[in-house]
Amino acid sequence: MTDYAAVLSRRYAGKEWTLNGDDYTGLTWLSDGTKPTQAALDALWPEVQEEMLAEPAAKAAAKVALLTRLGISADEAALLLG
Amino acid sequence: MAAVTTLPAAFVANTVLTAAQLNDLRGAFRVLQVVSTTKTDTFTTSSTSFTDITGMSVSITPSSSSSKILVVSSINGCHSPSNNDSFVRLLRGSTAISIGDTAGSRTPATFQMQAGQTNWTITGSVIYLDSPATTSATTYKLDCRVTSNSMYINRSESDADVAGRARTASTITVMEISA
Repeated sequence: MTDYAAVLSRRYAGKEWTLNGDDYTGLTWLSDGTKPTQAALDALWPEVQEEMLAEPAAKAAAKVALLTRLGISADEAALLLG
Repeated sequence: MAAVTTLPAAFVANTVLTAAQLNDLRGAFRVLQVVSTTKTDTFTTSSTSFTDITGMSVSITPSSSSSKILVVSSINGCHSPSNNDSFVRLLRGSTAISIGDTAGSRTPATFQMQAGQTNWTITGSVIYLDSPATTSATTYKLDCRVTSNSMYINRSESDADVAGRARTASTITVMEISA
């Protein structure tokens, strides 16, 4: 099922809207112009979902790369930040 | 309705209260009515102007203009954990109540919400004693705005369909308290 809030947040940056509930019927478009159709949002969902699923792994990889560059372990980094 | 000013300023031994005074005493300082609503579905917005949170509104008709209204509300949700903010206000009708003083460009609000992770939710709450001074139907509600990105109510931002993500409820309750 399409996460309309996620699609709108990630693909319609700068546009203003409210979404009550999870369904497209709860979408109120506050910006100028017509609101995107349900079909348009549904079509964007697979790539948004893929992007969201990839984010934790990308974040973890970036963390490992940074720790390697700094030459410290995760525990040592936590100690520094604590 | 109870009006404690009709009661004797001081009680002395063997004082006999009238029936009216006894009724006043019985009615004083008690909860006369309670109205509550709970929102169990989600709400998300990217509005940079204050906009009503659908389903977070209650109406109460005070039985006396001297009554107090105790508002208790909590909402659960989050804002994108980047450098952005979301604000929530409590309103009586269209008037924001229980907000901070105007101070430069800062946003007067009842509370501010921002979670530290996309899979987290946090709770914002308010307890406020109002004096509406009316016997007309009075609406209490919550509205919200963001500075950018989106604010999520009753869900996390990531909202993955796994047991580790929460779907929560938010509530607003008003109680008429006899003066």
